[in-house]
Amino acid sequence: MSQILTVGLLFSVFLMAGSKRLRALLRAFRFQSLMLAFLTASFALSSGDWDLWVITGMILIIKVWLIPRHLDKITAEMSSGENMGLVLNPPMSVIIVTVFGWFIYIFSDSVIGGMSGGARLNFSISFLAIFTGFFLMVFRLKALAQIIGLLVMENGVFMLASSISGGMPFIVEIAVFFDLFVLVVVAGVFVYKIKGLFTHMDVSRLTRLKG
Amino acid sequence: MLIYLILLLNICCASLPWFVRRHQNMGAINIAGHLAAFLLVLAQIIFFGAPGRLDGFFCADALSLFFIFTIAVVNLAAALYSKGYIADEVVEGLISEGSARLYYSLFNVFTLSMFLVTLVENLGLMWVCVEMTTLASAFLVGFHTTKKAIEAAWKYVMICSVGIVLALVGVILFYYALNTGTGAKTLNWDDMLLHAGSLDPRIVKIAFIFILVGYGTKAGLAPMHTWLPDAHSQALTPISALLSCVLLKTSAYAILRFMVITNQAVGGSYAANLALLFGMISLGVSAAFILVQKDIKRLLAYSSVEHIGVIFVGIGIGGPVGAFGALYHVFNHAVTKALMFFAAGSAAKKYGTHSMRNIRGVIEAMPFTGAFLLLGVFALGGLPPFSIFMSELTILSGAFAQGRYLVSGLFMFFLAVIFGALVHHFSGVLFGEKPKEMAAGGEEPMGSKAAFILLGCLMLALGLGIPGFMAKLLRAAADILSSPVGV
Repeated sequence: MSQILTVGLLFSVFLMAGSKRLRALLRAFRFQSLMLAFLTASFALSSGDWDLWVITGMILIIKVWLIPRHLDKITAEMSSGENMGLVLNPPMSVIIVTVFGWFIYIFSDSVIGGMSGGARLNFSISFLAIFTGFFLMVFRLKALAQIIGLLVMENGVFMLASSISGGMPFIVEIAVFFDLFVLVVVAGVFVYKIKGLFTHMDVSRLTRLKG
Repeated sequence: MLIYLILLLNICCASLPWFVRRHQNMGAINIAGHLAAFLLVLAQIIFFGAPGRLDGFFCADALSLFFIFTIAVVNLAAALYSKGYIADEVVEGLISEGSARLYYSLFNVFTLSMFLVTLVENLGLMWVCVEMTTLASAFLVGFHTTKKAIEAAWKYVMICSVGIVLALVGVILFYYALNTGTGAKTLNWDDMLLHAGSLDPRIVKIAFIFILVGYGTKAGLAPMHTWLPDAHSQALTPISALLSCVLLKTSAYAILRFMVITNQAVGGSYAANLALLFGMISLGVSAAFILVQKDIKRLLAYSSVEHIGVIFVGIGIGGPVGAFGALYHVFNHAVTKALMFFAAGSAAKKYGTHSMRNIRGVIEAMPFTGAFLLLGVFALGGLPPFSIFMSELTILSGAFAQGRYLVSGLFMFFLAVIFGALVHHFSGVLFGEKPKEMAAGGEEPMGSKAAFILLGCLMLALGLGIPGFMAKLLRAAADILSSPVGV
């Protein structure tokens, strides 16, 4: 079961790299978060830890519902088109992410040896998600796409935590969730301010401060 | 317990502005709160010492108490300076009374989050608190909602958040190493240190790189420092001081905590060499940028990159002397740079520009501020008898004692270049020809004067000698950092 979910997460990474429009990226993020919630639930089922169930619930509420809804609202209000400011086109992005995924898988064994096949796959996909988030932040120029990139990185980190070490201590996970939510709200406020002051959301044109 | 009272004071100071009417009153409450917090920290150090583990949540050993002391001093100075600064902004119509309320509230959320970073025992929660410092200060960086301020705030939030995510990967890998090595499920620093010997060195090495790059981004280590000059130059002056003097140090503190564990797990030289490398890169990069800088606040921001570099070189050199020098430098840089930011901020406000080409003749136009700016430049450049000279000398003597002549040579070369650049830039700023239309005077408000005098005295006094209580605290904190491997 968890193998299917892991593959779903891998699929979501490619969906994101191949997304051309903001809404598609947002949908892919929602799908990825959903897969993450199911994966956590499967860990909860196998380990019997009640706190993993709470985490599953929080992923569903915060990452699948609240954050995408908030970002959806901002996207609708921005009405600047759904263009993400692609620096690299989707096919090229998918190729780069694929090649990087392959590299991570090859190197994962030499980095952390002695992992079982499933753990190695989880480890590789987590790092691929982190890389893809970073990739989106660098090669998508619209402010909202960068926020989603950051969230994808965090999803990767969450997957890493739950897959290799069975999740971090409960209080830490809860605090990280809270932090993440505040981050999205703060970044959202700045998106409004950027739009209001600059009349665009293209971060590559924020070049007043130099040297 | 005094430590809890300090946190409570910050919470009170963050809430009270919402129940007070005039900005002068908010400023006064802020000063009273931070003065009380400073006195409490002082009392804790002098009368009780480091209490160690407080409960399952907080821990205040010598290292955290030393950082708390540094934070409390800079907070007090920033609170003193803020009162007059915010009053000016309100009078000039740059911000409203409501914005002043928000400022004082966020100021205290920010200071609270920094105290929490140094107090929480759990390394995962420490990560949360470091991220909290970013979120609390982001609005203070973009407070003026000008295009430049918003650009700076956006870069600040995004770059630091990416860095922080990488640091979280490091935290998870440390946790994984502990989990697989010992079966323990904890992120408490004490427990991790206890089991450090059983951690898989391969995982710890990778985890530490994530920690260093992640928290290093927030600490302003080059080449991850790109957010820093923008944020420091655009933030309100008291916030620039807080960012430079204590925010960077709290992230460095987080690195230090992981470094101690790493040293126990993989031996002493691995983390130290990495710290030395990043320290040297920071020194080199900042030297180049300080030479060509035109904006006075950006210059001070690059100088912060330099001093973070000095601190990491000290940590990299290690041993009791290197660690002592590095921690001593944490405090010395904090007081000196706060003074410089306040003086430069006042000058920039009077001249209506940040450009050093247009800020000329500060000594003549603003004698009080100019005098402190002059002293600050010499102190920042590392001249005796000021405190930065002493800490840099300590670090250097540590390097010489270990026979690391190349490191010492490079260190001195970069410091010499930076000193030359500082003197070159500030000679014009201080002694150039004052614009004809500018009237002399423009006295600093009482609160700001008190901040200048407090910081100036500390800057000078600590160059002449370290008070007994502080020397004891510093030695105990340095012992934590330089505890022999395997103990």
